[in-house]
Amino acid sequence: MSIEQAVGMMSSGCSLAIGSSGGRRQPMALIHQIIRNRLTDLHVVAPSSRVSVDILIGAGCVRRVEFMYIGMERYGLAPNFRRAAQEGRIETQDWSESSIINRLRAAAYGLPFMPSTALLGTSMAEHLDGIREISCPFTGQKLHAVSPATTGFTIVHGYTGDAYGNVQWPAIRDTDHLDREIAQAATNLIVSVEKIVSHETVQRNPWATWIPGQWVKAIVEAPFGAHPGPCDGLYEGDDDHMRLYAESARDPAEFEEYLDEYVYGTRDHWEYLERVGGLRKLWQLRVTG
Amino acid sequence: MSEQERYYTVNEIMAVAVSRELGDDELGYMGTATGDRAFTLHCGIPIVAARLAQLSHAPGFGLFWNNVLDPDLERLPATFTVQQLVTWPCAAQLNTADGNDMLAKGDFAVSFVAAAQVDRYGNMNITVIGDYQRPKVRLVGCLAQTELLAYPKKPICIMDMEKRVFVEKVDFITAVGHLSGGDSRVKAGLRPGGTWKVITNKAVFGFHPLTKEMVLESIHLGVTVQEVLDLMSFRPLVPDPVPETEPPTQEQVRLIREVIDPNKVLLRA
Repeated sequence: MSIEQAVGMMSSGCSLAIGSSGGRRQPMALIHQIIRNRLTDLHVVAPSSRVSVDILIGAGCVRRVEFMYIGMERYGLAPNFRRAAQEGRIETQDWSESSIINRLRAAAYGLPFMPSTALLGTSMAEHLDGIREISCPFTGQKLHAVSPATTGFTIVHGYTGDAYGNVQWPAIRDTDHLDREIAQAATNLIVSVEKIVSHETVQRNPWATWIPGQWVKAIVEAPFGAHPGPCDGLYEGDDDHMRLYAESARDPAEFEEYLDEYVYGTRDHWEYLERVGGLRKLWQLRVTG
Repeated sequence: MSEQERYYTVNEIMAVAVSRELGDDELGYMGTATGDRAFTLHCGIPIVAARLAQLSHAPGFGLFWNNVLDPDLERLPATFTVQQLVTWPCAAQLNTADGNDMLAKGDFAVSFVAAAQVDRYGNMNITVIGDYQRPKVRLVGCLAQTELLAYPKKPICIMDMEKRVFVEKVDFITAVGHLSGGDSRVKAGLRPGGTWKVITNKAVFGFHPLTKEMVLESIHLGVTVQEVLDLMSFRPLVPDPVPETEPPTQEQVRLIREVIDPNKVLLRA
């Protein structure tokens, strides 16, 4: 399946879970296509994101976002997110880390809720729609029930996978992520991978399959598909482009120009990769250590 | 000792003050930070404190950072890039959910935290400044800040003092310290605990055992009580006299400079 076909399954107003953590392996090729398709009113569930959610918000695709972090680390706060939240243009649902994990688990386990103790006494408990105070049926202890993070679609970016959607991760990577939990919670999971490999390659190392094909609705090939963010172990983030992004995103008019140049103005992922510097630039980002 | 005779830096006295709170065989959960000063406060000082503790009173103290459980602090990465972090010798590499499960289960005695606002009762805010629906400044979210105050027995807050940071009441409770004081934290359903110490560039604070109000416990050499109070929007409990923060020993300073952080990566700013 192509990126265009995969994203073509989604429509405005749908709910969408987005993988990645710490800015690594953001499914940017899919995100860019969502923007090209001019989807609006998305209900986004993205535990931890850098550019992926900020660019969707900046392109006017998002109505509501549920998350525990949206920021750009050393490039500062996420400008589009910040502006939209401060102007009241998007609905925000702030979750803590374990409570959003518990919501993913409720969806993954096929349960109507998961209990959580993290949000007791917090301000989030006053604002969140997806929680109710309950008491433990055994001890009477005060708890919150958190609703399942069930979404219409889920997108994650992986390293390699076969045509059946068996997605493999290398052993040496930054394991601080929730992509497996996000994949387990999915209803319609779309995975972009750096490289499509043969089924025989997968069969030789089945222990490396973190997302079995049975969970996957569509798999698409997207080399450098996390650009401008990093794909740990394979390539670093594009520092020049991240600076350009952070700079452009500070001003709505300049950000429109950014989108015109790099997203609306590129026909597909391949043209995007050319526009951001092509093979000459991308090759410099490879992790060689 | 006079200020002229001081043989240690502010970061060093902070690291030693943190180190004193770490017990043998305890685990500490550390967040990540970017920017030089933030890195020193959130990562550098806790790592130095952990290593000092390991070399003296707490040989079994361990850290959890990012995905790395109990890394070998004798073999620190040169600059902490992602690639260096994932190849750092350690006991285990866990995922985000594992770390959160261990927090909830109570495996961490200590957490290292910082915030955009902290109040009289040690509640913390990293989410919004102003009203939640129409914030004046929309910050990054909650991360695991909530869990870092909900579950460990001894959350240690490491920060520089600023009037807009030390506020009477946080605009938004991202993480519950002692809520509204007394037994309000436990009544809200949380475990006993809450913010243990606030260790700053000027002074060390604790919390009153009954009222849970912030107490000025000690001030660093050369700092006056008035200077500390001028950097706060509320008045903490102030004993009379206020003791001086116990300084690092000459040996601790030597260990930090020659053994633990010879390249000044950890206490860089």
